[in-house]
Amino acid sequence: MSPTGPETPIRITPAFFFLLLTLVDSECHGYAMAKEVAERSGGSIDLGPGSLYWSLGRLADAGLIEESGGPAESARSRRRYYRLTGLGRTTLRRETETLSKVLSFARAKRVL
Amino acid sequence: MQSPLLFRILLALYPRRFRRRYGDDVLAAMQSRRDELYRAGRHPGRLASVLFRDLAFALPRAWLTYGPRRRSRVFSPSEEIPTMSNLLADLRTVFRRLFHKPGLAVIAVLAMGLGIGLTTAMFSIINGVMLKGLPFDEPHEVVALNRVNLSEGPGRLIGRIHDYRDLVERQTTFEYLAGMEIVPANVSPPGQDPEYLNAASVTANMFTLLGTTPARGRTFSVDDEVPGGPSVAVVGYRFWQDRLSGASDVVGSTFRVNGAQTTVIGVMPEGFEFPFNQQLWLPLQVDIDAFGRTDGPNLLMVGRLADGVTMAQAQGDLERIMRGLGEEYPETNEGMTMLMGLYVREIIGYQMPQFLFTMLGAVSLVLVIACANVANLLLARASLRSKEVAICSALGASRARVFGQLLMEAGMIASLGALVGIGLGKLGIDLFNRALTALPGSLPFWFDISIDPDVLLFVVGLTLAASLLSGLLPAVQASGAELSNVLKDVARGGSSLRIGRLSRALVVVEVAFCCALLVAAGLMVRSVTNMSSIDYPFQVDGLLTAQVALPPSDYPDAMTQRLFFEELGGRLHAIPGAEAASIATDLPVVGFDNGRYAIEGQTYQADRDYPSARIGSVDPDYFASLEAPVLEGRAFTIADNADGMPVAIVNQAFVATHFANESAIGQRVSIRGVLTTGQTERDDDIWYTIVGVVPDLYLDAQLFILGVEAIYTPFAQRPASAASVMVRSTGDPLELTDAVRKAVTAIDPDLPISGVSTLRASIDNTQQFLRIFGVMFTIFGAAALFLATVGLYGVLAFSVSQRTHEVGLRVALGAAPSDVVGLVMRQGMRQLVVGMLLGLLLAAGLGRLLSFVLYDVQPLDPVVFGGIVVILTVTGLVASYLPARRATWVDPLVAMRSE
Repeated sequence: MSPTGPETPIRITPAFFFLLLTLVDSECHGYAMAKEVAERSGGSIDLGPGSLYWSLGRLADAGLIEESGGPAESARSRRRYYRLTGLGRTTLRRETETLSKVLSFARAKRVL
Repeated sequence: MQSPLLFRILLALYPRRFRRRYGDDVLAAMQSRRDELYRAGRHPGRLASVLFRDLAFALPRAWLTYGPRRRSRVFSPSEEIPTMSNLLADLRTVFRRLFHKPGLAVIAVLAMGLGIGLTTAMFSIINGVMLKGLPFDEPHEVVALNRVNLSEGPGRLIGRIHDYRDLVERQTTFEYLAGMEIVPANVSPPGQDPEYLNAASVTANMFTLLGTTPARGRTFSVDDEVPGGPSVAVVGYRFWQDRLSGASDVVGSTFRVNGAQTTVIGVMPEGFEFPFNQQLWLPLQVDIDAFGRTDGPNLLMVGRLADGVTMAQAQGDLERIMRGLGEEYPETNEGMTMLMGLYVREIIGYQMPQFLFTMLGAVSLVLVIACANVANLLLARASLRSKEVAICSALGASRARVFGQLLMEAGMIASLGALVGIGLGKLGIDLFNRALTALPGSLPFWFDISIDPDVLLFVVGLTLAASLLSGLLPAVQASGAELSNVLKDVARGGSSLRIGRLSRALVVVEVAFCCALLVAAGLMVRSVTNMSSIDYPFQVDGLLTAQVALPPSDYPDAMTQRLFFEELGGRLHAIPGAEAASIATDLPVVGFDNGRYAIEGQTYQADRDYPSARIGSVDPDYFASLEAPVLEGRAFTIADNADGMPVAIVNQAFVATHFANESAIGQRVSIRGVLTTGQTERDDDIWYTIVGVVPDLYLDAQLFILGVEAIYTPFAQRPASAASVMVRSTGDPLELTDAVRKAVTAIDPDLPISGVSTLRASIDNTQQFLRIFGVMFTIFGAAALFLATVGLYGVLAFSVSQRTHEVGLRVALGAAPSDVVGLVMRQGMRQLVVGMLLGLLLAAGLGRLLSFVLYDVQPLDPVVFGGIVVILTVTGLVASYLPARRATWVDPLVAMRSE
């Protein structure tokens, strides 16, 4: 499906980070992800429709997320559901670790 | 559910692959977003802002990720990423192919060169005359201010000195505001003949405003500005070299200016001739308070905008101040405002740019015709090669590459054409400059018509545009052709038919543009011929004219001026070989002063309600010297002197305006304000009785203004400090020059005569400018005719060669040669007629744009239109007859075998 291979590294921008995080507990459809991102980021990351699906396309092409059937009751809906792949989970953990190191450094420097 | 149109439009902006993958989701998300915002009671503008920001973020990214570059990867069998080596290979192929038939390539390059060259020359002219602007620092900040009477439309008046002082005190938007006056200066450098110059009398800050430092010495300081201040002067480089022999100790030396010993304090660098072509600057030493608001010198005002101030802000500031002045001084300022504009634009006026840009538009039509020719050539070659292209495509060459190669071919022709064009443009510019230097008087100092970096940039843009214009159509046609159709197409009909229709459409466009250009050229030529064959109501030949200006220091009042010119008149009559002689403030055709007047019995509300006319003072011999008839009443006599009853003579236009149904003789007029050049005394309260009527004597140098009212008064009753002398000679009038000069210096050895010419030469000179442009238009028209003819011929010839088989068949079936000729010529004529009809419509529009330079020619002049139709028809017939004849030579046997 994807012309770029799963090994293709992509830079995890804050928006990608948030999107990946929304999928940790459960699979989710695109628009609900955008809403949760907006809520959690306090409105600072507000993905419009085009930006949302471009981002999801990038994440899917990089093999970090994949489409899923979604919950049974949504079968008639045309909405696409997404879930994290193994690579997605690994990437997310690695990124979070890096970030937590950054955070503790920032605390030590009393920036935060 | 159908999505709103807006959403679908937004979605359509995304690349197709993205839409296929996510289109529905994006639309659904847009709708959810909208519903949510509306439920929350947000303004629709909020939705718009969300969608707009979304678009700004996602659109470029989506095109990068899903754009056509990836698609070509998907579709082309081989990895065909445009690499440098591919590009070079293509360039080589294209170049080889182009010069495989060098004849055609050379014609294409020359056609393109002609188009680009003419356009470049025209653009250089515009660039040099008005775009480049003043050769100073930040020239776009230097503006000229003009007084405008709002109730009279946009006509420019020169500012008044009181307004100048008030503006300087109240303005907040200018870094500097300077004023100047053009003053006659009789200069006598030591040991040389006196010479007359137009000097500029300037405020001290003018040089600072322009940011030019003197090459030697200094410029004026505020101390030089005080009334009765020192007699000092700044001289121009040319004046220093030519008249002061380039002496290194020039600063501190003295020479006489208007009779006063004047010290040179500075020399300006070469090329500085502000405001127009000045070589001498004097400090403006005016005691403003000595004048009422209606009096005092008129000033040309120049400003430099303060940092960060826009033109609009400065204009607003001026209008605010002028409104205030209008309330404070309604008598002089009511309804008056100041309009400002870039200095160069204001000085050259507003008709010139319109005219120049019309010419640029016209010449770009020539370029379009050239492009159409090249496009046709490429189309023809592409259709010949359509099979080759199809095979290449079938073997895996991408359409993009075929497309690219054709564009490259067009680009190569255009680039080579640009090189030829720069050469041709240079030639054109040289010719134009030579024609300009032949004009009398010097040109504005900022005129610099040359090929500079801006022009080269323009050529680059032009080349790109020409490549696209000529290459795009063939490229789309050739790369878009259906493979299977072309490969199946055994006969030559099929695919080439489509291309043929396009070529014919291009020829129609060429003929249309050519027709419009030829009509414009025809109108200009007719205008110029009309002007040179005007039947003047006076005897033009045999008249010497010259100007004499008396320095105010030596001739301060009407009395001394009158005495001088009376004596000069006597001496002129005594010149051997002089049939007649006259002294007057103004001459026909060369130009006349404008002024306002009142008719007795009429009431006028305010200053600006007085009608205006050309007003001049002439001596008793004026009309006799011109050999102009007095139609009614009498000419002036020596009895009409300072002590006699004030009298006036008016022209026919004046009578037609005011006394159409009665006699003008015996009516009285008064003249308002100081208006005649050099006149120093006002005569508002004097009523002049009309004693005679003369014909309209062509009072305007432009010649376009006919039927202007004119009032003549006796020179003795309204003398002036500057006047023209006119001497009629039996032989060559210029032989009298020395005698006239001696007559002047016999009275005052310091006085020069200037502007020595003949009336005939002056008239020719006023028309010279238009003649130059008439010639240019003729060149444009001829180039267009040539290119369009070649285009028509080319397309027909190609079509004949493509139809050899068909023609052969027809001949074999019994078609006579005349049938074959008719067949081909009908095709040519159809294009010609459609093109001409379109062209005539276009010409009607173009003619209207030119109407203000047309003399005695209607923009829809039937002679010109008819003539052009005949020329085009004849040329078109020849261009289609030649290929038609060739078609009759087809041998049916050979033709049928050729498949």
